Amino acid sequence: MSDRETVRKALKSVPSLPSVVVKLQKYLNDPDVGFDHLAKIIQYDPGLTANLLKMANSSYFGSSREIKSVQEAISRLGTKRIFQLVLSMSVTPMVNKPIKGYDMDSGGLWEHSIATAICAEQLAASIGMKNAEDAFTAGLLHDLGKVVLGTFIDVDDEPIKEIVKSDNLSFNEAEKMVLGIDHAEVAGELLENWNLSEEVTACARWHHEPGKADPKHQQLVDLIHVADVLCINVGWGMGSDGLNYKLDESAAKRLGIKIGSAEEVIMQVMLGINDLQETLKTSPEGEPNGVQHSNS
Amino acid sequence: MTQLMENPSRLLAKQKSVIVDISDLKISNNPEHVIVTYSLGSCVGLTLYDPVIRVGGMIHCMLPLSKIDKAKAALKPYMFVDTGLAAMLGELYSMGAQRKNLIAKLAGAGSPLGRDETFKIGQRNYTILRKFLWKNNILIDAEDVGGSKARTLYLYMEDGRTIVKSEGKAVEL
Repeated sequence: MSDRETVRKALKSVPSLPSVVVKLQKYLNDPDVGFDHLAKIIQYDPGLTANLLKMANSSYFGSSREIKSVQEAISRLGTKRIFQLVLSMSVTPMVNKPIKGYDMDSGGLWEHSIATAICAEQLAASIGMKNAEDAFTAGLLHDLGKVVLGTFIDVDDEPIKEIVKSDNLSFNEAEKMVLGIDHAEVAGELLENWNLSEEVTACARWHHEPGKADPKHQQLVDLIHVADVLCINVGWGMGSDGLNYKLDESAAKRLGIKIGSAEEVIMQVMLGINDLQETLKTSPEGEPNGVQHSNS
Repeated sequence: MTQLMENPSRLLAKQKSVIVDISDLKISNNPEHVIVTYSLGSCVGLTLYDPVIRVGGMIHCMLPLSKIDKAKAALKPYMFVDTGLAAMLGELYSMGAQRKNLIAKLAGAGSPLGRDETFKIGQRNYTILRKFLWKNNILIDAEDVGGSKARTLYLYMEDGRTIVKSEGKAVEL
């Protein structure tokens, strides 16, 4: 059993984001910082540089012509995309491990996180959503609360599963009953500690209760909610929580997503995951990233 | 359905497990093979087995109809129920399986909690699959479908026994 205080303590022991991500985040919106400076920050880490180029040349992210340097990657894909790629590689060691508390094998949460990121981005494009630049990042990070509850605290999922069955509640509602907090709120707190944007944090915090989000973040929260439920439904990164989550029909209505376009998006997600799995598997380091984590 | 005491994931030493990924098909005539697919949510897992010549296979389809993108369906036929099942039957017949002998069992087609009025992917997968089998004169012998359970499906090639594992329980179909 666990309570909010135990969770808060565990949150403090979660490593901070690697310094390269923190630096990129800081300089991203600074007009005085040029591409060369951003490239230098990345090139300081050779493993990261190699993997970044590999991802930048994958069919999902890449363009038709081969990208040969970090500078070229920044100018061709844009700083926002480069930040997303570096962030993806940074969280990979966290989400790639088995998540014991959710009975998830290694790679399971990575698959779900990448699937949700791609799904959110493709759904946004399919409905012509504007200001959806953070869709990938928010999709990627929305379930980090499961890492905290499932590995740092090693929560026993049995009583949670019992309540899901006996009271016909969704898994996150049952988490709240047993632990006093659910994985969405934990993810929200973690991303706040990491100083990620208010909107990305809101997406993680409200991804199972989109109706409670601040109206200014509503659309992106709705998007992450729908993308998450679709990816759970397909079975990407399924754990002991199964399909025991509710789709908020009003979120899907607000976005205006139709069955046909959802199926097309799912197909694109499948192709995107295959492509990135291949890209990351062939990493020379054997580990799908080259980023060193520091403890806070 | 019979409740089993054994754990199908603990295979006998000589048995080799053959994994079917999402949007994948595996066919076998090796009695030592145990074909398995994990994480069936709204997807459908279908096993077809000819007990006379002990040829069989398993498919894990993600979406009902290939018409959403014919070009992609040509590259990934097992992603869709319509193109996947056609390919599966073709492979089985080419290995000598006979339609009249085929035993069909299926699992999956789940949905999230609540009414799921918006996407209904599981329901649509199930409907299209039934229709395809009906058109091909193949009856469904057993199924474990719907609800919000995550399922794992096993097919033992030695005798065609099919087992569904979900929420820690293994049940023979």
